[in-house]
Amino acid sequence: MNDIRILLTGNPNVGKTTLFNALCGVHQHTGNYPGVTVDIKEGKRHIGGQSLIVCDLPGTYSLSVFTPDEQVARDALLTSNPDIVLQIVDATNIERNLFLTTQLLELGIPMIIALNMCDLADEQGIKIDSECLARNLNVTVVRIVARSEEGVGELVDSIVKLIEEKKPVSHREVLYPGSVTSHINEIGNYLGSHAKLPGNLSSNCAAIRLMEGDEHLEKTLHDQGLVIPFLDKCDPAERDSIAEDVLLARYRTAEEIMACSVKCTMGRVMPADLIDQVITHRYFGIPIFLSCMWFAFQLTFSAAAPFAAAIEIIFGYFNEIITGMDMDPFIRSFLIEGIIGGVGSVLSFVPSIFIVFLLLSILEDTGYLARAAFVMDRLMHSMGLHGRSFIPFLMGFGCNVPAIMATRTLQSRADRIITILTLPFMSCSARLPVYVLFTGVFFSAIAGSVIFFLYVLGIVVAIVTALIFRRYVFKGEPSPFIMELPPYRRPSGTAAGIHMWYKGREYLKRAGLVIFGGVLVVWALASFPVGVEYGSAESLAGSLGQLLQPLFAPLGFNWQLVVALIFGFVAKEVVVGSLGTLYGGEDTLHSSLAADHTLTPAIALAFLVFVLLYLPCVAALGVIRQETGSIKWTVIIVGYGLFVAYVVSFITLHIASFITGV
Amino acid sequence: MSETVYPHNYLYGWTGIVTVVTSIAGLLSILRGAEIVNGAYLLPDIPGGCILILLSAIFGTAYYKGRTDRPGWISFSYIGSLMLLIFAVCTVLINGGNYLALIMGGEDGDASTIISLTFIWAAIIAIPLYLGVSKLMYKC
Repeated sequence: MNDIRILLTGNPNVGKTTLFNALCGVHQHTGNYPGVTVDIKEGKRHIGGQSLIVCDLPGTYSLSVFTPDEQVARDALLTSNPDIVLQIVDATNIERNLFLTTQLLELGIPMIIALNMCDLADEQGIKIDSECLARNLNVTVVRIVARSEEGVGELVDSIVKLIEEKKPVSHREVLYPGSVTSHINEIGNYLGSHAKLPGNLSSNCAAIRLMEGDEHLEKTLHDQGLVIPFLDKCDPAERDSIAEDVLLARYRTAEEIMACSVKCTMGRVMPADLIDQVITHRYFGIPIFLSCMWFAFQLTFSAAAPFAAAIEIIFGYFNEIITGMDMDPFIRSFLIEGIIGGVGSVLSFVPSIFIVFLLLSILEDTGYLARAAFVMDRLMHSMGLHGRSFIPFLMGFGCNVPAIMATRTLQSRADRIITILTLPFMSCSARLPVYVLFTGVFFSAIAGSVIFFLYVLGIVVAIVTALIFRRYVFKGEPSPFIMELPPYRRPSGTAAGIHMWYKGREYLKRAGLVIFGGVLVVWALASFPVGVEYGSAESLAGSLGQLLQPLFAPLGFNWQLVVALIFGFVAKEVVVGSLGTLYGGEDTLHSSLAADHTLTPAIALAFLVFVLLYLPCVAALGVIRQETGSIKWTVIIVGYGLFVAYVVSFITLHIASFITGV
Repeated sequence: MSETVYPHNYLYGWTGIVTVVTSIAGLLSILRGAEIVNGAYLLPDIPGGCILILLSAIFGTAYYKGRTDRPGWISFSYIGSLMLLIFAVCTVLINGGNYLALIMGGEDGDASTIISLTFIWAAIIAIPLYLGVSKLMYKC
């Protein structure tokens, strides 16, 4: 069986991951905003006796890199020797995409262009002559609509055909000015005889890359002890001028190709522009965003309530069955307090998780979240954060782990570290069950608003943190924010449903493994030593909780809350599971908490604030260590989080006590 | 743009009516939330009231822009009415969810609360505006 290795590349937000999913039958996360993919994802598709190995690269506008994710794409294209480069081109914005095409053509690797979003182009009156485009580039061009998998079969056939033909590569060449061409030849000849170039990079292509200012390649050659003819003698102004000549030649080529293959109605005011007038309005933009978020959290709490109630009824029914059965009291305790009390109470929050992901997916699909990033940029910039940080922040509402990885889209290390430092304050979905539980018990009339307050508080603490670190540690302005606004799209119910299902399933898997494991440990600690009353102060859990409880006494937490916080470090979902186990019994966790006289609304709110702000989970810490490349920063993030959580919870407790009078 | 006649005085006028309706509805929701007024078809909802005031500001801007900037008023009116309709649907889901949860928990619930919020009444008034303006959006 032969493997065909394909690199899937293109500008950000052109549908690479959607096509990757369609080609490989997988469900990687996609989004209607740039920067969703930050590392290489690999998938496989079998056709007859052959395997297509598809690598989904992070989006890039060119092979000149500015951010770590672009570096990943550039390195893969220049050094990994693929069989085919498959470029996804946005049919609604073809000219901008063709700039990268002109660079890819020069790599000398067999290439196919997938013209995506042809349906949107048709809607917008953009007529693309794909045959003319193919003739002009001397590359196979296939029209597709990746979302509906239209044309994907034809694309696969074209890939196989291109490999089987084994024709020598002769793509269209970019015409550079005479002076530039002579230098390319001079450098190319020198590199051909002296340099060891990465991958299958030709000496001519390497020379063009050097003329364009590829610092990484230049460093590689200097590391080999080479002196690059002409370029090493140029002053910076001269080099800039040459790079500009190369750039202009590429744009000219893209314009020429456009002129003969694309016809569109120009000068028409598009509905997207009209919508943006309001959505990204100077004064209305942020209130509109906050209104949408407020409704999203209200829905998360209220629309999920009947489903959660149904799950509780089912587990209550199991509880009754097990109570009525004749079995060893120890096993009964394990089933009722451990399994039903712990895992059952976590599972009752699954509907909320599903709804959060459904709503975020719909907002993403419409293209609104990218506008939200644009609207928030001014505010974030003034607070010392980069506008692009907003995308990791949004991802952080789902899970902090991919969000921390998404900081690779940030250009400067200072911006990256500040964003990573502030990301754990974004309320990930694992914390939502804790919020839903406590707000349902202590603030039922205004539960949605309290949850909204917690999310906003997380953002405020993140902003204050950014301000402090920008002012005292990473002095200077954040780098400017340039982001392409994606088109508005009607959200697809199927795509949103699939996204919701996969995210929800992830949560269920965690409930099955990490949470079950955590709950099991808590149950064991609450049951031993043998002979003590289950979950009493004399049990191991009670001893552990009471040992540490004095530290949390100023915050009003009882020992059960302290134990839940300790186990919440493994995964935040375990907080509810632990409480379910510790408060386990015949009553539901909801009613047990309501009956606990040591808890007041003020203490509950302080606890929620602590859960929001204290440590990121173990998995997130691992990624922080990996992305910062520093143990020092990992320790700082842990220490800072604990300190901030303690102080803010303390303040919350006293303000809430003052307001409620309890 | 000059080719398009300006036959939409009715919609423009309707935008003015919706501006007044949403601002009154928002104000009443806030006042009810602050326990200053009472009403059978009003539920206390301070955040919801603030959102209605925001929407009335958007409609108001549309009305104001209508004098000089035609695409401007259409887009403000379109987004305002679209948001109002979406939020009204969300309100029905929110109140419906709360009501169902109460019933399932064995408590008494009042089904009329599902549609008694000011959002829904304001949205009903905004439906003709949305239908008319969304057609205009693709013609300007």
